[in-house]
Amino acid sequence: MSVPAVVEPGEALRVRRETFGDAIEFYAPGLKRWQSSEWVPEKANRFLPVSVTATACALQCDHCKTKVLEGMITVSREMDLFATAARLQAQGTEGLLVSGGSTKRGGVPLLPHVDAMRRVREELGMRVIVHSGVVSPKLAAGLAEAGVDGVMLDIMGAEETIREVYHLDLTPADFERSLALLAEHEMRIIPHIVLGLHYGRFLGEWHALEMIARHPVSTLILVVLTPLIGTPMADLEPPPLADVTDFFALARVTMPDTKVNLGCGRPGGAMKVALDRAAIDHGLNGIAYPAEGMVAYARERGLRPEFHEYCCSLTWANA
Amino acid sequence: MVTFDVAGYELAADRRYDPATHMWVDLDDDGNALVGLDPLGRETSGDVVALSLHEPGTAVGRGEPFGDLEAAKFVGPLVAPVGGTIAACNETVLADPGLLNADAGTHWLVVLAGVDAAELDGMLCGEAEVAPWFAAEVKRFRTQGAIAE
Repeated sequence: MSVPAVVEPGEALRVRRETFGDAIEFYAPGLKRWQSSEWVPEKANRFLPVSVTATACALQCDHCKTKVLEGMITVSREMDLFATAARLQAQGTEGLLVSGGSTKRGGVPLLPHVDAMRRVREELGMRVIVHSGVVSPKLAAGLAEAGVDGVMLDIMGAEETIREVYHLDLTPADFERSLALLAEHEMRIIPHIVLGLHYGRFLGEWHALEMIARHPVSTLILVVLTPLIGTPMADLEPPPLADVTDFFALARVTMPDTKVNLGCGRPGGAMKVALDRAAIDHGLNGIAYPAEGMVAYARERGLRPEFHEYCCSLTWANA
Repeated sequence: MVTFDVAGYELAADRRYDPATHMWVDLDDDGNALVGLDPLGRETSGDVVALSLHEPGTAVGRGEPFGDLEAAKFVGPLVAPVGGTIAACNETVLADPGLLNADAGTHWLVVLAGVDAAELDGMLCGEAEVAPWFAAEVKRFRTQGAIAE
């Protein structure tokens, strides 16, 4: 796909106001300890991530190298998902992100845990969303049967990125097939696009957006490549700010009726401030862990902040 | 530097540790307090990406912020384990906060002057005091998923 024409921020903001009004949603799930001078969440452990593979992952992707799994709670043979959820609920947790490392086929091995997910939802009344990776027909059916609240997966639109960064022998069509399978089961689909994933530059992002826009997704989450220490990408620069913010506007007008949020994965420091301002200026619906000053800035722009202590993928829970 | 090991973490034996803030305090010859992150404070924060510290001359009370940290798993204020006046900020760490990822034990953040001896007395000191508390904290953070199990 060729690079689409740049959408003016004003147009993106207009589209956003037309469909969604003036509310802007800020999110602080319990994925990290976080507070700002504008917002101190009341319960940091309301929503927690668990890994069904501990820190193991067969892919060893260049941007992660299992670093993301290190901060998750481990589901083990000794304490299965249900027991883990019950333990966390006793400490005040209300929802889980069930995640984990990937198999060599690109999926998180969730199937052995779907019955526990159903019990967590039905018996404990907790919310359950999952990171699925590439979805098989069997897994899509299992997740639907378990009644999980939402399925999150990264969508990649360039075969080179899938092969070189994720070390997977798959194509973009395999990711689109996952979207179709989840849609077939009427799941809440929460696709993520990692902006700049191809070693800091844009490659398949536009195609990923095209694919996503063809399916009935619940919320689109945009995250930005964050070069992590201890990975092959540690010394890379994040993608250029202008490329990212242009994509914000493009995503907004491409999916005018779908909530588009800036997720928690993004570089910190000054770039985070710039990204968050741009997210507001370019008509995104929400921001996870907003940078200092963003609540005030949103108000300056005539938006009405709302605060949610859970994952920014759970947008339907705001109603 | 003499150290001791607790659950795989190396702790300096000559420091005081504050259970409330996961900060260490090292007194210099003039009685000023060098303040830094203890190993759990560092690890539960994740990789550090940005650091800001209040200006020298600023008075901070125990439990009050003396700066802000932005890291992979923590974003928020750095809280003083003892009260005092900021006499110096570590410019080396301010210029390269990533140094904390490799070794938070030697990289102090601020020097506090005029600290209250009674507040220092309330901190844990020596292996016999520190080890049981630190081991329990490791267990707690593992249960919460804040550090790898």
